[in-house]
Amino acid sequence: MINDHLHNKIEDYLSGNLAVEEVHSFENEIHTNAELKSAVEAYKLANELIIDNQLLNIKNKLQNIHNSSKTKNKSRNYILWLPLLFLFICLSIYFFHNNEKKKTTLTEKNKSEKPVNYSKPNIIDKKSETSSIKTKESYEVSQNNLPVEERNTTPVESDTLPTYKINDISANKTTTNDTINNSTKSNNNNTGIEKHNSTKNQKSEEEKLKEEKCAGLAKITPSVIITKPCFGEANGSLVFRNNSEDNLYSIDGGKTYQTSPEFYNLKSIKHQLYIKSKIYGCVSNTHSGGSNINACDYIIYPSQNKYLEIDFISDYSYPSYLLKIYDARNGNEIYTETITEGQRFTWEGNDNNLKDLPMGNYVYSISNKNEILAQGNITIVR
Amino acid sequence: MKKKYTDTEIIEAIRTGKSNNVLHYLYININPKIKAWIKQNNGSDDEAQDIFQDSVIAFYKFVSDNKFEYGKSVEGFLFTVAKNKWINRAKKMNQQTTYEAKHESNHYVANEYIDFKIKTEQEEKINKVLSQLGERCKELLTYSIFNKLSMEEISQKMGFSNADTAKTKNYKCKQRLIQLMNSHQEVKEFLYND
Repeated sequence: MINDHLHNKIEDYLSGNLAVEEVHSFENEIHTNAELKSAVEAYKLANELIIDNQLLNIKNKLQNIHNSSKTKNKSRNYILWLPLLFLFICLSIYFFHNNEKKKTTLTEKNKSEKPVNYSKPNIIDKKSETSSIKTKESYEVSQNNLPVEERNTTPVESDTLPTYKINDISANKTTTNDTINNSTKSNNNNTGIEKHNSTKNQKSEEEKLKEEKCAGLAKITPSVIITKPCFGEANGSLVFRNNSEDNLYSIDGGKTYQTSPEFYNLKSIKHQLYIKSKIYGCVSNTHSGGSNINACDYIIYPSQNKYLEIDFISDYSYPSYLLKIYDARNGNEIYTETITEGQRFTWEGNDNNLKDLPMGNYVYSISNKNEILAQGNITIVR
Repeated sequence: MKKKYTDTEIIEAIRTGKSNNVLHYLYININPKIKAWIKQNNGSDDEAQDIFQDSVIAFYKFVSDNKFEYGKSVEGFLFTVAKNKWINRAKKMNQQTTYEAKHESNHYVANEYIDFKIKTEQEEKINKVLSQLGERCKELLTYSIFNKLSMEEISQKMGFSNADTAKTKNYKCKQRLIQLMNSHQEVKEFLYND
């Protein structure tokens, strides 16, 4: 293994950072020292390998660009033909119904207008069918964002704290004690409960309050209002719906608690919620949800030079990310780019061939090799 | 993606290793012109694509070696390289075609353009070695060897705490690559033959 000092010298020599005299003396050394000579050769080859690999990458990327533009041109032809085909079908349906209309006018003169009414809705129906399919597709794309919110909106009912009868609580307690006693001592079961009940009756008002409060908490499933963060930014927030000054709040499964029910500057919104009583220390039910997928909607105004800008500086520190943009109307992929960590990505509302895209809604997704990290909507306003 | 690049921006993007968009840009803006010229001179679509790719690679290598002079036209360079490559190829094929006698005055010597010919099995061998090296090392060495970024720039790009960390990692990655190449002699052989 070559040591650090020699490494620096070889690197400097190969990158031309040595002064002229140093180069001469180093080259003399190389001629006399066979070991050094082979080390320098190894460095040269290693450099060459990296350079060749990078040139190969460029070549492959160019080939990919070439291939994708080829297929895009083909599909574009196909897209050109589609409306014509549709028009042809519409016309043929229209003529077919017109023929039927003529037939009916021959037989029933009074109802001559009705077949026209029949034929038109038929065409409209077909159109609305296709358009409803399209909107379904776009919903499916946008609904990927929804489950996070849905999960959080379901346990809403817990806004008001219900009051509980103390008797109920003691009954609850005995049953839980029952199960514990059953598992440990089955013989002394009955006497154990009796003793417990008798001590309970003598409990002070404060303890009753505590039990009331804790039982109340135990029935609460925390719920939160969420603002999803944008990718690369810490602008997410979580606010507990059930807030009271008596409580502490945790979003990390009870590891840390804070007095405020509001959590800001979050980079992702995956959470496990707990509410803890400040005085008594007992905790609520837990509720976990959210996801690591960041969602943020963007509106861009290309004519005013307001573009989509995302800084790919994240906690993930993956070497690279894949960004894809789809047309929200039909789900077609219209733009793809690989972005390395640390880069700023700018999108001016164009497709991969630099063609401006029309005003409308688009959907983006950012992923690494295995999972989606962010997705949301982009609106282009022109 | 930016729609328009100045020559300086193109060179800076290649130098700093952010050149995906530049490739698209070159493909859309310069490829059609080269293609038109080659087709005029009895070339096919595929041959034109080949020449364009080789020219871009030569251009990248030039920029990487700091041989590309700032202020020179990128389009002019690519066009000249493409023409020369096509003429050389035609000569090799012994085609008796006549070309415009005068080419644009050319500051670069034709044989300076690298001929980048790596076979598929060689590519596989390179990939094999580099996959054992790991993504991060590969990225770091590409920045330091191909893009010739300073350790400071590399540490910023890759999120290291400082230039010294980048330097140590660079040293370790390089030693590792040399070791890997020693155990894959076949890679060395075809690199020697280049």
